[in-house]
Amino acid sequence: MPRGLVEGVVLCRVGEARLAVPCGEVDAIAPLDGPAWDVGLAFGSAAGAVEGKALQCFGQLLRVDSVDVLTTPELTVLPVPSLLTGVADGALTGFVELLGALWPLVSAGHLLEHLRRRAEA
Amino acid sequence: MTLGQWLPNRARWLIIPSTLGNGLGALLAAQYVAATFTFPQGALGTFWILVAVIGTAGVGVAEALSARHLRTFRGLCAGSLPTSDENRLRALDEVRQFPEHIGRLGVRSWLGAVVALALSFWLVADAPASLVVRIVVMGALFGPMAAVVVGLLVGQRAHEAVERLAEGMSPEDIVSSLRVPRVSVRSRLVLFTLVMVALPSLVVIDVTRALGADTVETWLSAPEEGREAAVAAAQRLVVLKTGLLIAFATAMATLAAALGGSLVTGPLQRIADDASSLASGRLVRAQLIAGDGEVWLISNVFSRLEERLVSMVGRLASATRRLAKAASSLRRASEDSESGAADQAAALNQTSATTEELAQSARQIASSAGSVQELSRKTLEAADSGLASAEAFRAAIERMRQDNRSIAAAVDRLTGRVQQIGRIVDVINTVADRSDLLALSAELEGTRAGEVGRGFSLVASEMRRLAENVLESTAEVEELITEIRTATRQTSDATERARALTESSTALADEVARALTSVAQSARQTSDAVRTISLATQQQQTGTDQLAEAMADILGITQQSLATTRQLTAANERLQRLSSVLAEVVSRFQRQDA
Repeated sequence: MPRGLVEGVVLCRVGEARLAVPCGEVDAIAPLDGPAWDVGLAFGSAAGAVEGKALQCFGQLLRVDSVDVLTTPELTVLPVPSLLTGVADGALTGFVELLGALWPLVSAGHLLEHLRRRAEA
Repeated sequence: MTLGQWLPNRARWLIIPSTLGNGLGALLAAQYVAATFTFPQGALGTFWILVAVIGTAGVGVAEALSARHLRTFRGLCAGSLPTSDENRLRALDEVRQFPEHIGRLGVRSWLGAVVALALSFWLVADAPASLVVRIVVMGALFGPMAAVVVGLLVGQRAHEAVERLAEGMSPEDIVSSLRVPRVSVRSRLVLFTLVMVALPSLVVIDVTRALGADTVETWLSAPEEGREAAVAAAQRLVVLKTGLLIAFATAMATLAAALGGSLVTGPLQRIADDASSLASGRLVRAQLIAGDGEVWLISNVFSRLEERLVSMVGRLASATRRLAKAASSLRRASEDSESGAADQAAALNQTSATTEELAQSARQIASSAGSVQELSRKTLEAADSGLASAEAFRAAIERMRQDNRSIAAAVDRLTGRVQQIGRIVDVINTVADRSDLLALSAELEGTRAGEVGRGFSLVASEMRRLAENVLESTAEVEELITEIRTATRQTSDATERARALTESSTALADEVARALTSVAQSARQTSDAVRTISLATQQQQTGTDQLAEAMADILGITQQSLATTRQLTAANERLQRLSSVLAEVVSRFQRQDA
């Protein structure tokens, strides 16, 4: 896929925050019935949430409150401003405009790395 | 001097005057004999001897005979009889009649003596018959005179003895026990005149005749030349003898008159003195005043009158004192009674007002009792109605409790069904959730598959929407279930509270029923009591009305009594003044015990 476009995203909500994960990085969507990385920690939420759904990515689970799949064939990815380059260990890869709002497009692999580092820190 | 001290030798003392009287008579008779009698030669001595003998014997016989009439008096004087009232009365009667007895006895003694003297002188001295007759005539002339004098002398002493014997005795008792004297003063005066006037006149006539005969005989027997002198001497002798005889007779008559007058006037004078004392207000103890004939009657009447007057004045004085005391007490009592009556009238006024208030209160009580009875009846009806309502309430509560039980059971069943529904919804929810995830996964796979999986993604998306619809529906169902659970829980709580409430309501209804039963019973008893009270109050009202009327009557009577008491007080004051006047009148009689 050419740079600047993304085909299919998984829209997730964690608390008040929202994010979009490219469908290609999500292996499956599963019920939250095991250990999972809480995505809300990356957005300043408190730890301890046990409900929601899990995104299986790279063999690991990411917990979010709700999940939706956007089947639009191509979405324009807005680039990350230089000011925000490297935020969350480079997990933020751009923004997509959906439903009248900007959704941060997050790389699942980097997000897992970022959460692991935060946990180790 | 007491009677016991006075009595000794008084029998002799009473008789002794007879010796004096008879002696005077004998002296007068001797003078008569010396003047008129002519004795035979040598017979004069014999005559005087016979006179002495027969006279002495006559005196002894006379005293012996007279003593027979003084048996009780002599016994008292000798002390052989007790000085009882009976003996004193008997002795008093003897002494009272003794002068009359001794007078008659003197006459008979004189006659007996001169007869005896005449017969003896005739037998002894062979006296001529004329001399014997003259001796008898002499006794007939001088015996009554001596007897009168003796009777008067003895009468003097008999009066004293009678009064002595009567001392301390009631004249009334004495008079009532003695006989009324038969001889009156008039007959005594007639007899006295005959004896003391006529008989001396006869004596003087006889002496004059005898001396005249002696003078004539002297004149005839004397010589011629000596006749004048002899007659003169004889006349002088006549004058002398006649004078002596007249003097003796006059003296004797005077003595008799004095004694007789004294016997009449003495008692009268004492009666007059006593009457004067009575008239001057000096009361002495009534004593018997001895007297003869009508004087005795007068003295008796006066003594009885005096005795009764003394007794009456004594009783009158005592009665006056008691009257004064009683009048004083009566006056005080009247004043107290008047004060008490006034207080009583005031108290009765107040009592009458109080009684009227009481009657009014009784009427109000009767009216109130009627109202209370009506209220009690209504209370009883209300209590009965309340009891019925309480029973109905308890039945309703019972039904409510049963309904609550049914509701609780239904709620329990509903809770069970809701739980079942919840579990089913959970299952549906789980399935829907899984379906949603599967749809998401399918859509994700379809998206990842690109253009090829686009249709698959659309189907998965539709399936996901269905799953989401199901989840929304199940959420709504869950909300409904939650609401139902809340409602059932609230219903259960309400049912539990209702059950507890019905339980407490049942207990309360039981208590209310018991209370109302008690109230009904009390109301019934109250109604009975109020009915009794009402009847009693009506009776009390009637009684109180009658009491008020009676009090009004009593008040009227009390006011009349007060007026009467005041009149009585005034009358008592007049009575006290009258008793004072009476006491002053009685005080004029000063009692003086003899």
